[in-house]
Amino acid sequence: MSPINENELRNELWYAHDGAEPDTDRLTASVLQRGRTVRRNRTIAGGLAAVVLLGGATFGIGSLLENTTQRGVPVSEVSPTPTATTTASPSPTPSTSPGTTPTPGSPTSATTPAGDQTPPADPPASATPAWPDYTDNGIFPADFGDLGGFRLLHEGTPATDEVTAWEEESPVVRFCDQAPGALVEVEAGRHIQARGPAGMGWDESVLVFRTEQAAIDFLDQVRSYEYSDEACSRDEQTPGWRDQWALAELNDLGDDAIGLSWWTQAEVDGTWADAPGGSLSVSVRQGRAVYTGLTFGEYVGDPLDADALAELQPFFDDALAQDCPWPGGC
Amino acid sequence: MTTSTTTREEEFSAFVATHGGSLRHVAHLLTGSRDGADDLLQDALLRTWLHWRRVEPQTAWAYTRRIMVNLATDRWRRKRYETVSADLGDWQPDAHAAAAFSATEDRDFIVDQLSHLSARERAIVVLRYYADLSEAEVAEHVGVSVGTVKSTCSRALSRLRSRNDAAEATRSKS
Repeated sequence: MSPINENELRNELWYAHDGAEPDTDRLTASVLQRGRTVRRNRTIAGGLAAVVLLGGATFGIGSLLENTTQRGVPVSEVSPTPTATTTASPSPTPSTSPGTTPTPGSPTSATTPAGDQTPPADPPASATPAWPDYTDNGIFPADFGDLGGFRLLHEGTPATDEVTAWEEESPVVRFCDQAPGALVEVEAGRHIQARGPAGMGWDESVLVFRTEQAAIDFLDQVRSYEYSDEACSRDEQTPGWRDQWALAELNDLGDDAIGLSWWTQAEVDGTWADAPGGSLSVSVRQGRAVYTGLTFGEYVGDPLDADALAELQPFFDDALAQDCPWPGGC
Repeated sequence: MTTSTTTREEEFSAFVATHGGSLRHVAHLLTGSRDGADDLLQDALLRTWLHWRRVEPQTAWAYTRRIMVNLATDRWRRKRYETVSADLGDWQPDAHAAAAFSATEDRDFIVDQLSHLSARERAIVVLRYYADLSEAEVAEHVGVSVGTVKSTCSRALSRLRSRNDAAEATRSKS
């Protein structure tokens, strides 16, 4: 056998052709549309990456799906439920706390506590500390408050050839551009993320609310939003493309858990077909804390399936095992 | 949509119109399949578009090509692109392919040959012998050492047959 020589190989590669020429107009239109959805997905990813509380025991996520009830999906079927109602309001002097003295802490970045809610620089020893409002319309510092040494699963995970290092990032906790009102009750939190090729990403976060009721309100507010192209996409609607949403109640996981998934569809010959692009956020509450694990990328169709949940399961297992180490626990 | 966004979209559209064909050719060489090439090209263009503000027009082609190489050799994406691969140990000349081997019109001949290489080997071969990059440039593109590029090219060349050799092997087999 005589191998090919370099010049022959160059010649062969140059003239190799499968006869297909791309329709550049159609190709460009498709790329631009996918770009819009990826950008929106990233915003959603940051927004969803906020929370959940898991408590006590861990659960096999494989069996979780069997106990899943799901609502929503086709946008047309989403009932125009009222938008979130804020049940909690900032209170400079919280009257209730989960059995512990609240720790005002101090934001580590970005957000500055609202003026009249900032604790005095040198409060009297007997005074109840004022409560800093860490959220700026849903934007939080990447790390704030006292988490008592709690660590997210992928803390410190270095970069590989294919995935960035897991690093702190300020989360944007908004749903269809609305920040749940209960976020003013958050006293501590942390968020890290990693990104992979072609718009893939993973987020882990914890939010600790002042009270269990505030955490319950938060998830209820997430449930209450109207998820539709009209409500969420606004100026970015493109003919021939639409978004689909599904909200699933994940039973038997923590005290309360939901999965919020999103995916893209394209119109092909008059029929809507799933197209690449989607995200899945699972939030689990236990007591006053909420852990959220999120994965997004080029999912085709509803990302909420056993594989995606299994990918998030180690995060929840790890978080649960730490048993709420922050002051006051769960 | 802002004016600046419109301008960027127009710039990007012009880029795709100008270079889409040649990039599609690279995608075809990297994947060995028509559908895989289409998917790879679109995914690479998407990433280019998402970073368009930072991409220099004169290097956009090379930037996109580099993305295609990364995606084509990425373990998550390989399945999506249905990269055509074959185990060299299993490969035997097709007894019915003699005519094709001898026909200069068989422009997919080398694509079939490339299927005997791994995704990374194929990328190195395409960058070195089609894109005509230096060994150092290929190494930087693929993220390997120059020595790896040298050894990979040498090994790949020894595994790729010329048309004449393939035709001869086919005749012997039949």
